[in-house]
Amino acid sequence: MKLTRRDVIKAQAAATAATVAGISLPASASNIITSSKANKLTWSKAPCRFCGTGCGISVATKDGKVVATHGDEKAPVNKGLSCVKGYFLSKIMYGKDRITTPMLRKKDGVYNKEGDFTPVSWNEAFDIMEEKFKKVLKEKGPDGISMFGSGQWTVHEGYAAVKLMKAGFLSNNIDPNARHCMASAVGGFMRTFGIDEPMGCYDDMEAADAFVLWGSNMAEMHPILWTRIADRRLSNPHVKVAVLSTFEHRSFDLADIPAIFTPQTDMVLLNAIANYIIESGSVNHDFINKHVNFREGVTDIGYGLRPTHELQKKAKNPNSGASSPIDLDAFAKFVKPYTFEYAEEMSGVPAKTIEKIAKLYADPKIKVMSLWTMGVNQHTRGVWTNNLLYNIHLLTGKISEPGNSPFSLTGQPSACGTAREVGTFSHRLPADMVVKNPKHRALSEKLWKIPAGILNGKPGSHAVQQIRDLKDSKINVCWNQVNNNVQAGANINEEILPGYRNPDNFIITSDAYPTVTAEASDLILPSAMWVEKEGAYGNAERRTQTWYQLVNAPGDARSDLWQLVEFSKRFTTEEVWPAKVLAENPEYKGKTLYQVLFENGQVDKFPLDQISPDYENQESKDFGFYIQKGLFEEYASFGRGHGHDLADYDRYHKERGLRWPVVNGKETKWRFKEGSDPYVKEGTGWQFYGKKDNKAIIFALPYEPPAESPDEEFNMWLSTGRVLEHWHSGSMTQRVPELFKAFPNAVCFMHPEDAKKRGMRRGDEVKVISRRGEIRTRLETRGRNKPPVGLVFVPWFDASQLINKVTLDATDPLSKQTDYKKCAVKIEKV
Amino acid sequence: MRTNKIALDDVTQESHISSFIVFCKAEKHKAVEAALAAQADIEIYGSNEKGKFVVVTEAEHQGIILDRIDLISAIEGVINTSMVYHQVAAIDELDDEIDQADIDQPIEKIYQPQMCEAPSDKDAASHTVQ
Amino acid sequence: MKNTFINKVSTFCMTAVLAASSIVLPSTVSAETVMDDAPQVATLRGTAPMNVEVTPPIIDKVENNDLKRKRDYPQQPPTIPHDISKYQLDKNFNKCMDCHARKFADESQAPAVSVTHYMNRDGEFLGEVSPRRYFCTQCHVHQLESEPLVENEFVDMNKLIQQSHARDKN
Repeated sequence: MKLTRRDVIKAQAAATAATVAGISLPASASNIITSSKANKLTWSKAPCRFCGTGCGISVATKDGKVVATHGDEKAPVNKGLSCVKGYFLSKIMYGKDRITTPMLRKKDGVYNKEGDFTPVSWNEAFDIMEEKFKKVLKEKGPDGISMFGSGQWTVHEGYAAVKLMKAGFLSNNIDPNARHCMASAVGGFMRTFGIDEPMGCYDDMEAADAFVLWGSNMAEMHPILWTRIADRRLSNPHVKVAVLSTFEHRSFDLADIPAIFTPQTDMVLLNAIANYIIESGSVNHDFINKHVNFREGVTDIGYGLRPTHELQKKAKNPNSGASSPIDLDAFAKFVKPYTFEYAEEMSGVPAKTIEKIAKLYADPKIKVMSLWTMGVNQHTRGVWTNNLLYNIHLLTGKISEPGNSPFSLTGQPSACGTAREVGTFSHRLPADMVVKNPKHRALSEKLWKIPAGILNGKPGSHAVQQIRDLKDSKINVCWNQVNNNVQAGANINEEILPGYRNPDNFIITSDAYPTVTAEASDLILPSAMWVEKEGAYGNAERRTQTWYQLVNAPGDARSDLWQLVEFSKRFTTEEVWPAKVLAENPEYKGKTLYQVLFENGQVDKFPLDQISPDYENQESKDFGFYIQKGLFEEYASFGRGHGHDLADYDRYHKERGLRWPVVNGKETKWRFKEGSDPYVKEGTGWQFYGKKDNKAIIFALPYEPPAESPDEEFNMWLSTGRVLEHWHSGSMTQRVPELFKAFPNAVCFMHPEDAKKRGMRRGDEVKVISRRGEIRTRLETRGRNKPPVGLVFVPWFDASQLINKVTLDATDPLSKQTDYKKCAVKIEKV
Repeated sequence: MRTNKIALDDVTQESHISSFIVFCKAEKHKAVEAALAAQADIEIYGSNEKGKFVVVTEAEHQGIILDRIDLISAIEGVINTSMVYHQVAAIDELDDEIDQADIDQPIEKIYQPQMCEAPSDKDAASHTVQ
Repeated sequence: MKNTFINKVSTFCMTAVLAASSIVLPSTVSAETVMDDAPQVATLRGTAPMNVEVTPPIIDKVENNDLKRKRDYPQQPPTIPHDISKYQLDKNFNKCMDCHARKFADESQAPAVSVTHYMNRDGEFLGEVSPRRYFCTQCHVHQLESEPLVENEFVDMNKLIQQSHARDKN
């Protein structure tokens, strides 16, 4: 065939257009391009590795390497789009400093906490871990060990971890870093609805007439969802966007109604809106009569600090989530003091602006979507604030319908799918069950095929408690996976480093890259990441998505799943289960945890021939059965028929995700609503079936002040958070040159007047100082974040500027989630 | 208005090759196809019954290409004409013969696509997941 | 609200046990060499020990040379080779489109945004840039003159294809 350069260019031009248009060209027009086998790429699907949006990504591989990534046109979440991080996913696995072998701190050839990191074999790594686990289990029992995981664990990994810790070691000391991220959202859902996760879905974004962002900066943190809102707003002039925050950021670029409020006063604003809904006669009485109960919560509940802390001692009802029934009249009386004038005085938001926002909720013709994430969740009254948000949607009946949607956004790719649904929290079991409930434990024991009565009924140590327990030598072994808590946890100097470096303790960190957490540990295990293993994530709209292993991990790096399951072979039931239980259940004697947990006839049910022939699956080949499918199907048995139904595992490989409950093969878009949720009975309209009487709860809860506020010495608010280009602690994105160069170092964003007052200029080296610690950074008075006078914002992605040395480890007393958005600091020029 | 220094090279020796997607009302498919075929400098590479056409055109100046977009858009029944691909090549190289070995070279070695973002080369690659 | 801060004004120091705490630690938590020395593995920390916060790098300038940069794969969004700090980009106005819109590309000689930017969620073409693509900075980012701390060993497809050809020939 004779071809000219012109022919080739024209063929390429046509092929490109044909792809865009979705037209297939006749073979004669396209075979010029495809004639070469060497040019072929393999395209596969995977969900994005970063935020909770859960974008579908098309991943190209060639010769065992990921060579390109972009938004999947077929993925309903993002329809071909992806944010800058998603486009650069192809590079996150190729940082030169990937950890490829286990490393142990050694001196003179043996483990020494003060020693130097030395490469060791997996065998030696597991030997020392086994020794430490067994020693602590013997001395202190299950409460002496802990695991700190993640909303970035795959569903399979989180499930295997829960099972190993709770059913194997009988320890509830397992918590995900989602505790720092979503715990208040979970608390809010459980309190108001009795069942976790949003009732609506992303389809609400194409149906709503108004969007209200409560403390969220979606433009940077959920960019692809923001594209859906921008699309809706810019295509439909009647649509309104209200953005509320403690500082101005990129989301304000789309705001019709911008509002800057004083930290913590979101609670005042929400109660003021509830008051307006009642006083303006906008309550949907039919809805609340049928579907809502009212309760008043106890107040003065403390700040989740150590019990010995003054603030904690002063609280009347520390850590109490108790409440008592009231009615609409009592609720109306409760919120009556929250007038617009009072709200303006407290929050600094003009009464007229508050009224504009209140009307979006009160007007029955406007479909309104509320959106929030860390601003509401990382809040010492985070659970309450979640409750208050549901209040205004319930008062107006604006819920569970297209466009009427209180929507709790998620930070991590599988905070929902893994951390929450699988039950990796210290108080939870799979499918919203809790360890405290004897019935839930009995059901779990049955499904796990372990002896009845064996599970531990006492909630374990949550994230912040684990850190305190390490410092206090109550926990002596901690295994971290997929998190970077030495950078992410609050109050690093006083709480975290002392716990990690406590000579009594042995800290293990599994990671792909050498983070500061790895540095502070005693043993580092090299992990496979993202498409180096088969996995599944669940996003914020209840969408479960799976992917295949597309490439191999470098060196000796192994998936966290392999690490957990392989390590279980090191323990026999006699070593970890009470003798009494074994005497009553002799069939479990002499078995390893691997045998009772994973070779149990369920997890090992699916043979290797069910693995896709087109893809590698390292763990399954190692263990001899399709382990991901076995784990998933066993896990799914917890939720099927209970409002958490998942489809068959194989189906997820074919779909761009499905939103649970998946009943009779169909996903559910709006829960609790007749016609769209199969669990809702005909003729009821709505059923909030997480509660026994099918009614959701409106809570009367007041404003309470934050744990720490600026004073004369520490005279500025500090808020921390993320930037668009970096994911969390930057361990992946800081290793992608384009992302690094876009935002290489943290800076302290400050109002120019505050800078002028202190004689500082942009670019000056400054110290950000709190009562707990300080960092050095550069002053930024321009750019994307524009704080009001009196507040500074410092992102936390930068390992060379550990801003969490400065933050306070005050938590919501109910959810135990840290408040990273407010503490008092002073700024000094160096 | 900003100008881009690099792009202001000598343009006399160039030829511009572009592809468009022409989108017309489905019921006007036949008529639009005939109208497109009647244009000497436009080649139809493919179409579907929903009223989408893939066409390719070549011109010595980008302005001519833009004129042709206007021309196509003016055909009755055409809703929209979008440029997908635009490549500038040296005019004296276009008639060079390419042997099979050259085609086996990476696509981008033969020419540099001028797109901000190609949608994907899925059609040119094996699909393992559907 | 002003008096609700913690009663202790502690200096920053990892040995400072919360003064408000009456817990007696079973073992002494002391500063130790591991945290006082330069990190052994934590690359992004540079040479700063975990216990010390050092002088941060200066805020580098934005690369502003208008030179197109190499892309590793065709789908990669091009990074912005010029300073956009003064650009208005909000719901009222998009400064980027002054030059990058297709209709102005001829005059400005700036690269026109690709056709995908004219498609809506359903893959249909619009006359203007799709509102979902309106905020350019979600995908396109500027670059500072900073040098990356860690090398990235990503191999682009051209190199892999060349290697594959080389293998076939041998």
